[in-house]
Amino acid sequence: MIQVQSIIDYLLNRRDFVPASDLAHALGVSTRTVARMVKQINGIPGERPVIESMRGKGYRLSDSYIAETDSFGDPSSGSFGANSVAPSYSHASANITRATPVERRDYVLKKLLMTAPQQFSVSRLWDEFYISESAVTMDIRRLKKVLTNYGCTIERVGDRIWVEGSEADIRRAICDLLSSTDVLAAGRFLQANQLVQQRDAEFVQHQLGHIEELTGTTISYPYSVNLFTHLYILIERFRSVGAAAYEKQYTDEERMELQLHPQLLRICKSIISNLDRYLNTKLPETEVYYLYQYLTSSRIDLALPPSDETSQKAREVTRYLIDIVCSDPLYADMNTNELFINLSKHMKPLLNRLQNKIRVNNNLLGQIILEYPVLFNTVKSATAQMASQFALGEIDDEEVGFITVYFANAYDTVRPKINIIIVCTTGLGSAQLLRGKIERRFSGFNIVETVASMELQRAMEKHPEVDLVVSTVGLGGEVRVPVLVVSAMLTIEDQERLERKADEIRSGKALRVLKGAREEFNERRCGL
Amino acid sequence: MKRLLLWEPEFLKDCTDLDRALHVLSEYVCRAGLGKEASRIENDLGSRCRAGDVMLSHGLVNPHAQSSNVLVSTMIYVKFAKPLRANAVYASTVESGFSRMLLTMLSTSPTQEEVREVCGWYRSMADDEILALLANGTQQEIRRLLLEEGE
Repeated sequence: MIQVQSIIDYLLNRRDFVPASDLAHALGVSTRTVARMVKQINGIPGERPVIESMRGKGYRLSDSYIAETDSFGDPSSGSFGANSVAPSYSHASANITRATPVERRDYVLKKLLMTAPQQFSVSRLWDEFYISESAVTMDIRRLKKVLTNYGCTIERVGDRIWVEGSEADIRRAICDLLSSTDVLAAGRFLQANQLVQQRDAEFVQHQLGHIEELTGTTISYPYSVNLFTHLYILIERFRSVGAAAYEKQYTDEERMELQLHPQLLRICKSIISNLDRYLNTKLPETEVYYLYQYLTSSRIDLALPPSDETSQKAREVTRYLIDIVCSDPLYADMNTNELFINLSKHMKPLLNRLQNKIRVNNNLLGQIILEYPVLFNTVKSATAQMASQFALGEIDDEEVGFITVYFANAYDTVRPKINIIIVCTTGLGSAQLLRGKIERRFSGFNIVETVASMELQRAMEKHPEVDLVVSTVGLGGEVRVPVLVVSAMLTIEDQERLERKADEIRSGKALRVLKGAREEFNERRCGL
Repeated sequence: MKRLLLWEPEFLKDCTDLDRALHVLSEYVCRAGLGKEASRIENDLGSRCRAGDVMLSHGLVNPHAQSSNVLVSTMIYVKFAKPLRANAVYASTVESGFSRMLLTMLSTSPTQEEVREVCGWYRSMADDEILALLANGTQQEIRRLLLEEGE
């Protein structure tokens, strides 16, 4: 039974025919035994075989078996057949016929990329969408444009279409255009057998754990996602196109780069060696380099002295960025010492990512922008200047978001809280609800009191330190501080308005402090 | 504080808009001995709905008032059989299509216990899960919530 499973496992890693002698050698049996096992697996003659055989070529798993089964069946019964029909390539999504143009192009692009350079029939690829020829032509034109950014092309000859590009560029396009959940879903284009997909995903997860053990550190988000995607794509691409498609030797530059972190290099070799065993093959040595690039682009703090040149640049870039951001009076009081230490550790892998064109996804970007809209824009502008100054290339919003968090941590420890009074008609109802929501979602407010609208004047007299009134009802009469009327739901728009108002108030305070300091300095100077 | 749950009650089935619902509920409150002068209670609730946004969540409206016509501080959760529209006067403060209502009425001299209770209830609604239950929960879930919050 073990040997029967082994044949299927071995053939799952190969798309082309495997000579009987190779199969026999891999399993440690004779070719006659292989033939007998294949006959056993295929069961009753006349029924669709699981393993195809061709004289002079050898054996391979049949396409229909791969496309239509989602389990290996029951070996003990002596027959393997389709147990239940899994979605085939052409029916991957139940709603695919109702896809929008964007969804349609996305679907086609994923399919072409994951299987590149496999050729598809244009008519069959777009058949299920029931669109016109001109719409197909438009789609192809758009997809070509997208792939140009990655150095890849879409080739079309007659009815055949496929993606061309170096393996590195294809993988970069896949990583950029797909999130990790997309990768797992798109993997069905290569491997419709869900059990194999699951096994591959588990294997990759295990390798990540192995890297963590060997480095003695945890691979945090988003680096874990990147690494997972890289290794998973490696496996699925290998099964699709094999190692021959991207045989490559190290360049001298790459070889020198690999010497910078010998421990990391050893770890990469160990992981790739595991992959070799898993895939029953010998992957090109460049896979070690690709993995090395990913690890050096992640925050893995090894107890090794880093290269002086790399650290020096990271320090310079960090210092430059902090100086620009802190030139804004709003952020002038930040504790830059601790910020510098933390941010420079982030900067080193960031520089590697920029150099190797590795993108990361930032799932918290929306929240970061919501919580710190002004700071985010300040950091974005500063990073653009930094990128220009140091010729780093474009730094996208995802990275800006991560950098913003470092500044926000430094800023939160010193930024003055805004004192607010919350008002509703009774002070007991929606004001309390707002209080709960503001306390949960914002760290920059100090809620002085919640009052009924008719008690506001009394409360303002009692609390001269109040900077802002937040109310669920319109307020008549004069109030000496800004008033913001919001819904008890505290919608996203309300939250944004609240943050902006708070930042305005802080700016005003900072400028008043600055003005006061200047006036004091001038007075002293006059007095000398 | 009194807590009541009205789940698609028969006497509200002909209501199609907020004004009508407030009218019928004010009368109900007075019939139940929880308030007096239904028209004044209706007026107080309507005024509040015009003064500022009273939506707690999509589909869940919160008319509330503190009034001398309230005899017993009360919280009534209402689930309407069909969505109601907001009358034109409430255009900027109430979303049309609401089918649930949390009606809160406080007397002008609530006890400390009642103050604590209503504040605690509103604070608890800052929890997205509780608010989601109030906006979409089943009759059983709402009853459990009202009872638990009361204990």
